[in-house]
Amino acid sequence: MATATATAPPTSSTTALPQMKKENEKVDYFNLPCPIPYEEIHREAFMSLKPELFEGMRFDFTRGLNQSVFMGPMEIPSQSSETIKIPTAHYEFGANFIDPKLMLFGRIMTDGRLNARVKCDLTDNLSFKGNAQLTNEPHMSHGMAYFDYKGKDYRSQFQLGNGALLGANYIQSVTPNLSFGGEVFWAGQHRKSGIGYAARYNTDKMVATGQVASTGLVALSYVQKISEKVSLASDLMYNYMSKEATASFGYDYILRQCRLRGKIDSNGCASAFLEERLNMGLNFILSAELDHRKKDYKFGFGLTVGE
Amino acid sequence: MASSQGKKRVTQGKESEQSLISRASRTRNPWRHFFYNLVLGMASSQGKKRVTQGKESEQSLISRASRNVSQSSIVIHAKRAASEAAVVSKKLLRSTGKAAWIAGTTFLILAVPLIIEMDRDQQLTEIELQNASLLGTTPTPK
Repeated sequence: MATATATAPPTSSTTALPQMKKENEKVDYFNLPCPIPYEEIHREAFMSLKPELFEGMRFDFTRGLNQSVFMGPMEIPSQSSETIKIPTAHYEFGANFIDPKLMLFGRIMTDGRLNARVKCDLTDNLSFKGNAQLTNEPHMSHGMAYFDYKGKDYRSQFQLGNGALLGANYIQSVTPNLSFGGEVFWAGQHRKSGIGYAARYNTDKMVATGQVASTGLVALSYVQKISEKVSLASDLMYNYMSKEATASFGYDYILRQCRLRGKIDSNGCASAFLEERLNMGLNFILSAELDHRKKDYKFGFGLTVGE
Repeated sequence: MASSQGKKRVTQGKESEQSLISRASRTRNPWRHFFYNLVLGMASSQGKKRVTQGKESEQSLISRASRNVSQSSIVIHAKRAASEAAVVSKKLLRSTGKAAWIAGTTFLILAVPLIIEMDRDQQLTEIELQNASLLGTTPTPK
């Protein structure tokens, strides 16, 4: 029910457009490519600008079973501007099951957190994704279920979560390069609802995306692929409610032996993430983050075996 | 300062005078009393005074000269300018230091790894090219 009402306005507006244009243009609007999922419209910018930065030491072993050891300080969220860090260490054990139709992932950590993910293709077009996190702290466990429907030139998704969380989104290709999408959500526990729109324009040289939501969030991103190896990315996040804006600029360099990602943002924060391939299936990771304003410097190194 | 020193000296002089007078009165001789008075007057008022006066005038001259110099507007201006310059230069030095630290660390994080990795990649390509020319094999892409 929610999907039908939610997706109705963007559907009608976006599908009407290609039919009108169809007569006087050569582009075959009946064979538009399928857009990428609504949640992943910032995918390229995220890949370049948001690497998994960490502080301390980590060791990941992924060969059949998934094992990960992490040692290092962990930040405790606090109201004051000073960051409080406590040294922690944890071990994570995981198991994967991968089949063309069904994928299961499970992770358990020494502090009692359990993470489970399911991805299952019910039919050719309909797929189900599940995500659950269980902790020993009360009210911190949560679960989400996603039902994806992939059409010929559109995608829609229905979300269901605990805490009476309902959501739906829809994305439609308008031209071979341009796609528009919209979403609605309702969080019953917090009595909040919202609506959002997104647009994405991608060619093989660049990707530009924009997203607006009624929560006050405006996110714009732009990725320029300079060559096969190099891409430059920038993004701008603006929150209308708190009147805060952050912009960041980053590069993503993929060489034969390594992948290097660097970023600098308007909060005075510079970071770099280097993945060096030492051997087949053996990666060395270096991570650095400098927050000049908070005087918070984070450095990490790690090793990944497998993949 | 000078006046208080002078007062002290005067009181010291009075004490010695009194002691002399008392000795003279003990002797009960008017001539001797007169003589003592005379000697006392000669010694205390002239000799001592001359010495102290010389010192005082010397000090006052130096102090007056130095006061004149130190209170002159040029010196005050110069002092103020110097202190301001010191403060400004300290601030400038500190801020340039901070800026250099930020720029240096940012460069170290963002640019140095990139340079190193590009250099390594270049070297790899060269080695592959050399191998290709020596062995006659085609360089493998990637």
